[in-house]
Amino acid sequence: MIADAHLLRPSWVEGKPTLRQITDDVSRPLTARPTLGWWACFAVASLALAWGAASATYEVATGIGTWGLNKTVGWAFDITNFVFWIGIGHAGTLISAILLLFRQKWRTSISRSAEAMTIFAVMCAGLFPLLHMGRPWFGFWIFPYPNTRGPLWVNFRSPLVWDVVAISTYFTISFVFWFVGMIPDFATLRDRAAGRGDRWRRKVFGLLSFGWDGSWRTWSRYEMLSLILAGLATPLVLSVHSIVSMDFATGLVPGWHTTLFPPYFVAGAIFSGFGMVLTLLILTRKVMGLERYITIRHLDAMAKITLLTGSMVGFAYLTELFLAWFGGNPYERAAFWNRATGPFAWAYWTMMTCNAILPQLLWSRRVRTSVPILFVLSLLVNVGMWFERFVIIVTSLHRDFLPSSWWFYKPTIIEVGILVGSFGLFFTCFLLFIRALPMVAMWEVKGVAAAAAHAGEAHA
Amino acid sequence: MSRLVAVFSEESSLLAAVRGARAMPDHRAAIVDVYTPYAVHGLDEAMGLPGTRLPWVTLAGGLCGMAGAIALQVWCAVLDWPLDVGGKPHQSALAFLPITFEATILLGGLATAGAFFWRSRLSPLVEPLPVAAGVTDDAMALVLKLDGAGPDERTALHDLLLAAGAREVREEDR
Repeated sequence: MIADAHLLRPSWVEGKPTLRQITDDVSRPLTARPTLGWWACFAVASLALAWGAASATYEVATGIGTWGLNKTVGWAFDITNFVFWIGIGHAGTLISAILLLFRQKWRTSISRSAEAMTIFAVMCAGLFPLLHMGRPWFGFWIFPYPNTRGPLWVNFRSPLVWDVVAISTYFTISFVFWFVGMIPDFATLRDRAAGRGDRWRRKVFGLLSFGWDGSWRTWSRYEMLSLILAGLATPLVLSVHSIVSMDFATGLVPGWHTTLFPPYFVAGAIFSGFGMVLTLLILTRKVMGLERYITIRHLDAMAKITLLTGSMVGFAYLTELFLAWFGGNPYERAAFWNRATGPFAWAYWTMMTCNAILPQLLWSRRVRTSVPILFVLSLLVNVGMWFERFVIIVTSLHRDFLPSSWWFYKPTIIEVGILVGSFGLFFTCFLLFIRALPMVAMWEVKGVAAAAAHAGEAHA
Repeated sequence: MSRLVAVFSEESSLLAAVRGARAMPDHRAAIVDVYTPYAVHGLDEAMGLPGTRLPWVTLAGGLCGMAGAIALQVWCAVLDWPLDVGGKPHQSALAFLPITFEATILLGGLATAGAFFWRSRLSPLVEPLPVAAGVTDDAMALVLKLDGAGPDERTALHDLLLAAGAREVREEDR
């Protein structure tokens, strides 16, 4: 009976590795020579980054007239990319903080790389408002600092100012969480390097490990610190995308002015974030040989969250449509009719298909445990969620209240270049991360593996 | 200080040794510390450590962040240079809420992390003294204070640790 219960909840680590094996499996890729596949990915990513850097340099030197914006469509590609990347960042905190509070043990193998993804995605996101300023060297004007213009303060009633504070806070807390989480692993790598006579790594990881010696008095406080940071990051992650949604919801533009936005944006953010985590982990578990730690069951669990949040997003799309009709506001009704049948209808239906319809395939266990199908679906989720932001921003702006000011929007090569560059930045950072830092939290996996081994002993 | 270091490879042996050492009759064999490669479930209870006060630091940091954000926003937008933005009241407290919330989280989190590093004496400049090889990899070590323990007591402790499953027990002075 008890043995059956154990079979029902198998371990999240395959093949019962010893503690030493876990250290070896995670640390080995950091000292091995990079594979050809890694170099190929790195070459593509850094080329994309270089293209983006060139485009951004040209834009900053010339002005944002190099973009396809006009008097009607004042926000388009740039803000779409900003919201897209911020959304991607949300899965990392969900996995590391919310799933920690819910005691979901499967998070241990994937939390580190998902948190890294959060940090890099927020970095990418932050670039876009900075570039949109046109004169990024005056970026510090968004902070309330004593100045010689009065002093004239920022408008604290503006969601754009809230956004600056929310995203800086989010980045800082995520970074602290990520770094603190790595300290015990840095100590492991430090001592491993000392054992191998690798003085250079011994020095670097010695600095990064803050002198961690595995003392239980420290561990005990460390567990409390993790719990507190998780408790703080949970409302934080919900607040960040709520505030991003208020950038739109507090405006009067039809299609933006709705109280549905905060929960709808948060669900969409987690959905897109899980799409990206799936894409990255399906590739890296293969490339780095970590299938034992990032198992099919992990992919299955992530697919379930993708299904849940995807269904919430689909429900929000239907609610929007229903309210546009039922609310009786002719502008709102026209805006949604324009989305579904207007010049950007192809973008709207791409979004609907990728976000609301295709993820429903994840109800099937066969789909959730098939790596190739899951990979394709995760890519489509990324595409769909980018188009969601594009649809919300551009279709609402290009035809608002006054038909004489209606206009069209087309991105320029510079805008496309900056988008490609942000993907380049993201993947370059991620590829360097998997080479330089432990991408699986060794100490957390050891805890889960040891607990599973003991459960097995007790029940056998 | 004279101390006894016992090295284990299994968390169950370690827990048994910790419980055994604490149950020693005259409690002379005080536990200095335990060193483990991961957070062993149940070790807090076994060692009977007092709870950490870190949550109070979080509360204090959070309250400072909250008070600071309210003070800054009210002073800037109401007292120093009140601006009429779309006819909204200068003291629009509800609109000050998001920044207040974020500052509460930010200072609460940073204060807790700072207090953790300070209290645990962790910094990039600290050079660790590994108590036994592999405590950051696959070994666990229990360190007991031996000062004032007689020969009988030392033998009893050795026996206790070996019986619990220690793979190595040694005395050292430092």
